[in-house]
Amino acid sequence: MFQIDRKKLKYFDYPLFFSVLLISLMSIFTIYTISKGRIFALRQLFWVLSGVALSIVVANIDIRKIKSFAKPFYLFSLLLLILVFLNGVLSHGARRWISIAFFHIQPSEFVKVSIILILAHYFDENPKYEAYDFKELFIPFLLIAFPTGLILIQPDLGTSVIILAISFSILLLAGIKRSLLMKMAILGIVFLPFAWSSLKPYQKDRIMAFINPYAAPATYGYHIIQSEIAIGSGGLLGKGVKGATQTALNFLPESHTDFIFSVFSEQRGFVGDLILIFLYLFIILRAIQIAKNTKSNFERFVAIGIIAMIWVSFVFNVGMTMGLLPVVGIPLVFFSYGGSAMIINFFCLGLLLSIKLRNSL
Amino acid sequence: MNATRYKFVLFVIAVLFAIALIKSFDIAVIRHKYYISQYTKNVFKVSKQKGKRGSIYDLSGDIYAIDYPTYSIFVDPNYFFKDLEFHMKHDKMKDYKQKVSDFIKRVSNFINIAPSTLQNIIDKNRQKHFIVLKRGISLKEFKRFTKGFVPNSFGFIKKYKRYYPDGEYSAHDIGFCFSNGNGAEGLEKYYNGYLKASNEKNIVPIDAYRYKNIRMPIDGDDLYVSLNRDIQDFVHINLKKTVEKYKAQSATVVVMNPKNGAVIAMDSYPFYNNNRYYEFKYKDIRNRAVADVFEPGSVFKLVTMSAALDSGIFKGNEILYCENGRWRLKNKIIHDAHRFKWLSFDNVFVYSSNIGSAKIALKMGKEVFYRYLIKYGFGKKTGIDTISESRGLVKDIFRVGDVDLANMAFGQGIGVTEIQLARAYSVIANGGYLVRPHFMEFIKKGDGYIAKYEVKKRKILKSSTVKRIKKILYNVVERGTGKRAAVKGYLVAGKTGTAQIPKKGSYKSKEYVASFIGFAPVSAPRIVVAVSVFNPQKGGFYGGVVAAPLFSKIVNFALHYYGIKQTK
Repeated sequence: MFQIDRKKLKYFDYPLFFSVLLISLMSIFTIYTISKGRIFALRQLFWVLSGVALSIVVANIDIRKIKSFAKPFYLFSLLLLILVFLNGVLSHGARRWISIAFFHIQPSEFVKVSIILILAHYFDENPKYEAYDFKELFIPFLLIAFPTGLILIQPDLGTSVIILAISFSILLLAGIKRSLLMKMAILGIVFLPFAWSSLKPYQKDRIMAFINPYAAPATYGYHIIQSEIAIGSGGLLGKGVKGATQTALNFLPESHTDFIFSVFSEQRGFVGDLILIFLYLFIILRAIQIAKNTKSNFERFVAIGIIAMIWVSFVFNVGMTMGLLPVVGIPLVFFSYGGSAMIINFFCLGLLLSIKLRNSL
Repeated sequence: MNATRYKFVLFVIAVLFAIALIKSFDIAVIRHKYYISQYTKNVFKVSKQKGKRGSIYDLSGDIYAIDYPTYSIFVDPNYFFKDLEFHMKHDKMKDYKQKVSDFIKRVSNFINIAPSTLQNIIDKNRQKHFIVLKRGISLKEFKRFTKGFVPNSFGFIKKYKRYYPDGEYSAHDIGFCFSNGNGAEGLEKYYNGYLKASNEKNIVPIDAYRYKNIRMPIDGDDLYVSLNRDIQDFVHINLKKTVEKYKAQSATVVVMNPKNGAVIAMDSYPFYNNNRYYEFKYKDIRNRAVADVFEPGSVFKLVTMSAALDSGIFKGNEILYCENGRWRLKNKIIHDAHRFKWLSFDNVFVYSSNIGSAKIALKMGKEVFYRYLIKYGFGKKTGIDTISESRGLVKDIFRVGDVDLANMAFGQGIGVTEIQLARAYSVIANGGYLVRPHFMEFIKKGDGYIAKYEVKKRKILKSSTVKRIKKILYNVVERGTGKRAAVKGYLVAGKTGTAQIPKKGSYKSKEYVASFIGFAPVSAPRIVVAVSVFNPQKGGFYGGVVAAPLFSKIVNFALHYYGIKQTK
């Protein structure tokens, strides 16, 4: 299985692989320039190298074998989520990590991929030519609701949003009856006030900040204002590493995780942004090509799930740094610092590469 | 996947990417200027900070000039409310308000106003960023106050003030600074470039926590001078006594190390206090030892004898006829204070005969005389490292006739400064070398040396000449005009001088300069001391009477101070 096959070498999706690698290298470099970021950069380098190795391994595994792992993997990720509540690491007022040996693992990241696999598995096993109705979708709803609920009460609004977005795109691909879709929309609108009242105060603040950040520039508007200033002062060509004082002087919080795009923009300017945005666009289009070319439903569901994951993460993250969307704490895929996320992202890349290889051979 | 749905998905993706691109272009390029201005507001603050001006020490570590810190406390009312609002947002900080109100009580107690008044000031000036509450807080008070909790909206500004512990005792040497921190007089001015601290009025980046990354101003360098505070103080006290005793108009003293020209003490009357320089007129502030030019009188005969002996025109065994104290040269009559008929070469100087000196000078001619005058450095600045040094006044050689030459031979018709004379006598004391008088020994930046005085000396007299002149000067004190300069237990050498002060071009007034310049001990001179007392009005006017006792006192003190072995 791990022997190098000439055909595999030939049909390996180099453009996809190398654009992802390029983004991760830019990530390491950017993290390295942040004050006190050197240790993070080293760790990120380690995660990227492990991720690259993992993606190459996964690319060589037959996707059908992975399908058989979908159920245990899903259960395992749920177990991890429950473990977070029993023995989680408290940080910034939320329990999102479990500590194993030297690492902090973020189970919600694993849920992203396990939900893709389990939904793909379910819809592959229960095919239907017409659109699905509520009865058939009851089990998928449960599969989605259970981890999403657990993540929501961590609390981690960002990851729950991503998981919902991933699941919704898979559901859309599988086909939902229009009437059901309408009912869901109405239900959503009805429950919106309740959802609002159940949000944590800081989450409300962030959404308020999105509406008018300058109402409270020192508190909840702070992130978004500083981020916009960072991007805006970068200008066309950026200020370079030394000139990017917005970051260096600690004005920008979470500079190595959620707001890394602002750091990058301040240093590299609009031209840097342009390159980065086109790299993501290229990855998405390439992945859509893979999804389009596959004959297996399972593979298509997996690919769409992954595309949704990358795309939503990109749109939300970049949107939030530029003040287009509320700050919900979604990291930039392949770019933000984070071990669990990096490993999972490269695992997903491996899945895409595997699908591509199987369909090309 | 059907084609329309696929196209729709592609379309949505493309649109969102386009929005991201447009928005980032909007922020980064179109509204770049706005964000740059925001950014500048964010990051850059004007920081006015001044470092510590360098101190002036002597080699034993005594301080002559030092900056000491004072503080003023200010409040930023605008930030005061922001700070409160920020802390109120966090549940854990509920006691913050209580803490702040406690602090307000403490600070109002500290600055002596009612707490309600202070709260009023803050409330009324919500838009302001800077209100000074109290100035001139001492370091001790500052330290005690800042031990407790101080909210970020209150701050302190550190300022330095110059202080001269030695005050009027060394004021003429050290000088003073203006309140803007620039040296105005003396060493403070001459070494201002080293002493002054960088004045950081820069726009500097300040980080999100408001206090890091401030470029610290660079402190000035420390100046170490050759002055000796004990001798300086002794000189000052005794100069005052002498001036009071003889009711003099002004007076100067220079104490110098003849080997390298290091100034050990230098003072001049009238005195002034450099801690309160603004209360004095410039005539009191001027360092007369380097700035004032006067006709030296007999002390200048040193040049005559050096020229005579060193040029070889006189062997030193000649006998001169001194005209019984009155000699007519062309239209000028030269007087001697004491009447002599025949005097040996040595005794011409020992008994300070003007006629004898004039005859010696006339015999060797003005070229030889001027050669030595220039060798001694008269008519030129000595290069001492302080401001307002004078060159003196030396007539152009082409305009010098016999009468002028005769006058110059006993120190009239020529203008010199006290420091020039002290240097001339150190040539004899150190074996024939011309040295440069100086204060600076070294300059230190922190612990590193950045400048050091290097002795540069030039031999201008033969050793045999020096030996002979030493003997003559020794005899002046031993049996000549300078008996009162003698010091018990030490052999000293020197020369008296009594010159009339010309008023409006004539010597008719009864104003004199009484001088004594000499060195001790004779065998290995350790110090050169030059004393000049201007216009003594009571108790005598001869150099041997007015100046020599002060010379004697200073030498006595200094030699004992240095622990030099007594020889007789």
